[in-house]
Amino acid sequence: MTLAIDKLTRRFAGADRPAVDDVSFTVRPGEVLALVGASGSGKTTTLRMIAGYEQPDGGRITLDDARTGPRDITSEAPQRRSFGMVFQHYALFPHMSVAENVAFGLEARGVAKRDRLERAREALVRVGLDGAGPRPIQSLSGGEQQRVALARAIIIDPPVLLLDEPLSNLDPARRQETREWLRLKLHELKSIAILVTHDQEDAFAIADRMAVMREGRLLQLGTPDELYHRPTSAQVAAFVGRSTLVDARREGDRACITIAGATQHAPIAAVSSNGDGGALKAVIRPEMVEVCGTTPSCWHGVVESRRYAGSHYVYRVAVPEAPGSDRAYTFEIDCEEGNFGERSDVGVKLLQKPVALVAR
Amino acid sequence: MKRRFVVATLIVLLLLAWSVVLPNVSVIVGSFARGLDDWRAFIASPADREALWSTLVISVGSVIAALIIGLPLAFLLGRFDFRGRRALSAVATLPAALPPLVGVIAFLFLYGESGVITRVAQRLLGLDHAPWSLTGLSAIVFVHAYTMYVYVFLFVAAGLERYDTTLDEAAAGLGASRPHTLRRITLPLLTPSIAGAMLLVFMSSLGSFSAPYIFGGGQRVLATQILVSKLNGSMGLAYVETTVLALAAVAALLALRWLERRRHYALTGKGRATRIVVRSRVARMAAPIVAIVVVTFLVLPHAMVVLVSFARDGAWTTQILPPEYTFDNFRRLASDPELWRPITNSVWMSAIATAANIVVCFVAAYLIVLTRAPGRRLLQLLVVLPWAIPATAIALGLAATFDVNSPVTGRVLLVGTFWILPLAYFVRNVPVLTSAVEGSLRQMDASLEDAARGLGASWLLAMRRVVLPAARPGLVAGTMLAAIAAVGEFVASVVLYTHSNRPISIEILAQLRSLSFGTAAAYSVLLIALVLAITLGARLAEGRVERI
Repeated sequence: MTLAIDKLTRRFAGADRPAVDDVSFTVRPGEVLALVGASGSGKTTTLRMIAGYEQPDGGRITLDDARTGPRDITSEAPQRRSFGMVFQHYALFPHMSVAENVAFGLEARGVAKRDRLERAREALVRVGLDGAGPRPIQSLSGGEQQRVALARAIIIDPPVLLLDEPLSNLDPARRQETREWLRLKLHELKSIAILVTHDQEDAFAIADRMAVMREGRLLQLGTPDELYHRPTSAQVAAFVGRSTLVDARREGDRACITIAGATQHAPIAAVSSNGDGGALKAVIRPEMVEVCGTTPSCWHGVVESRRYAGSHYVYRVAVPEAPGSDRAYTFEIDCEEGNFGERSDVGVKLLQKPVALVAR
Repeated sequence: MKRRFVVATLIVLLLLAWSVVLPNVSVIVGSFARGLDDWRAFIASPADREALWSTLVISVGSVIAALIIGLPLAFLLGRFDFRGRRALSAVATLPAALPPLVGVIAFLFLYGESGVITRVAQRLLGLDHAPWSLTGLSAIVFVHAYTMYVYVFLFVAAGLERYDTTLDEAAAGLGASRPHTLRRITLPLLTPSIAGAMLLVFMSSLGSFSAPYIFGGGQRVLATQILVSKLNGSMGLAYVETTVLALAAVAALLALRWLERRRHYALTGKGRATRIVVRSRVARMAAPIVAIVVVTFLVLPHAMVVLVSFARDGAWTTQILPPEYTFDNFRRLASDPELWRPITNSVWMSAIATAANIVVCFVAAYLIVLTRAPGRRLLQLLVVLPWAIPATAIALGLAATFDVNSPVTGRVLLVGTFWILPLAYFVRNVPVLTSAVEGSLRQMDASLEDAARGLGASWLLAMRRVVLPAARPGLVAGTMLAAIAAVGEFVASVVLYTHSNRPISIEILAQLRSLSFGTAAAYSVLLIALVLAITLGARLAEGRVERI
């Protein structure tokens, strides 16, 4: 089972740019893909087009089933596609019991009542809600509702399972736990799963690959590790993980980064330029630098804040772009020790970890 | 408990007991004034049995007809996008802007024996008699369907607006067909809205007076029987008929309330309201044509009343359209003080009644929603009571109560005076204004008032700056509805009016009786103009709310 999205475009009346603009990607069999991006990036519209709730203005959606071969489903009605969907607010039917909700997809397929209730019971066991069948929807907690929504979606054996912000309605404690649980469940299924989230931590934890979207366009598709260490654009670098983007040059296989006359070097993880030999920026992550005394070879800055995070301290250090300049780079730096106080002058030292260079 | 809330509750309760409860008690007591004789007479009378039966048939028929028109229209306008949608939604609620009697007259002009449409059909078919007659049960249901489908339309449209469309999407995504989704998900969840509308249509039909009165054609219904008995001087029988009518209404209220409660779920409208764009070619071609036909049907009664208002009285005999047009009808109304009087009467009486409604209903809603005053549950019951009781019954109750100088009524003698009609209008409009304000106040976070008080605001300042602004949308809408109902009121008026305080509706009827169609239509046009002016005033008041 493969799902291919080809040049998908959607314009809403009255909007100045397309909500989804020429987006293409292919989801492999059994893969869990996360669509990530800020609100308004077009990720939810993309998901709704895959489900069939929204008609694209251009492009194609193809489902390649081992049994039936590839078929164009672009204009197929949602009920024919039958991709299970878990909605952001779950969309559980309030006038039905838990079991009736879960069995609804079978009811729509004309499965006899006894059979479908039996299978609903099994589905509830699979999501860890044994015996919850007769309960009314209103009696469930947020986390339980989410499990019911998942059971309702997987009972119809969907070729593609879609999840819209599956974790956004849970409190932080539940969220951690559910994230783990969801990762296991989605990988247990043999079907493709596509989830939309604005939270990169969720995507990191759950997805095999992530697609980063911004203003309707697909910026980059890759594994979480690829996106973090080898971003192909400044936007992806800024969106995925914490980072500081600093002007840089390339000298052979080394990156040269100069701030206010002080130059430091690091190996290069990846370069993605526009191909025009244009200016580059280095993507500096918190673990690539450390705070040190003000030695001449490092960049000089001032500790803006120091926060204790349990296993380590998080410094925010402002390094002026030029001596006396108002404009400064702000580095977030994780350090095991908190020797330097706020407002103190410090040095920022580049560790010899590979950095990614992106077009400015 | 704050003393002033207790005192206020007591005052409002006493006021409602005096104006709402006492009249109903008088009617029930009156029905037993001669022991069980009047009840036996009612049961023995074939006319009354027929009236009860046809009242029920009309009510059920009207509910079904209103559902058949209102439900599809609400779904069509709420869920689909097609050419002609804007025009259709602009006029969809137009029938509600016709005061009850005016709507009936318009139908008479259009579909009556000598109506325009009837004559056109007659010519086209080459018949020497009218192809149909606008009399009897079906005619009454026809008129009701036109005026009352609006309730279904509005209730269901509001329900659909709050409806979370992701529920339908979820059903579709699980493989359910459109009909299956409609039957299992959408309609069950809209039950409260549908039940509420059904109740309103049923109650309105039960007490409907104008349609049976104008073209009953010998068709007896309870509401008209009451007036007949009263005019015949059989007051006891009139009281029995009134009691039976009120009992039927209360039974319907309880039944539908039960249905409404049983199926009440909080619908959180989180889903985006996506309209389905009509894609099929046949549907795309048909949609504007259907829209034009429906719009014409809806606008025709209004247009007809305006047209006839310029027709010279007596000139329109066998022609399809009135042959001669003139401004005389309006000129006469404006120049003859006797003819102008009904208009000033209606304006004054509705203004007085509505002003009283604003004060009493606001206080009642405030006490019910924002205080824990003892007796507020009783208050809640009393404010909806007039709604459950048909207007004819209310009127007869007032007539029974305030025409004797008794200590129970506070020695207030109102029958035969100007004040009896404003009182009737006031009583009839207590439910609509109170529930509108209640609705607004319930949407306000109750802690807002506490917050204002906590910041050191006096009770009066909190009232003026927090409570009143929160209540204003409901207050404006409720006032509008109350004023519109009062200015065109007919049903209670026909039982209680005297020559000196006759309102517009009564004068329209009188002109119709003397076959002065042009003059009757001119009054109707002025009445519609008053309704429009009230609506416009409400719009302006709402606009002010939005700017703040």
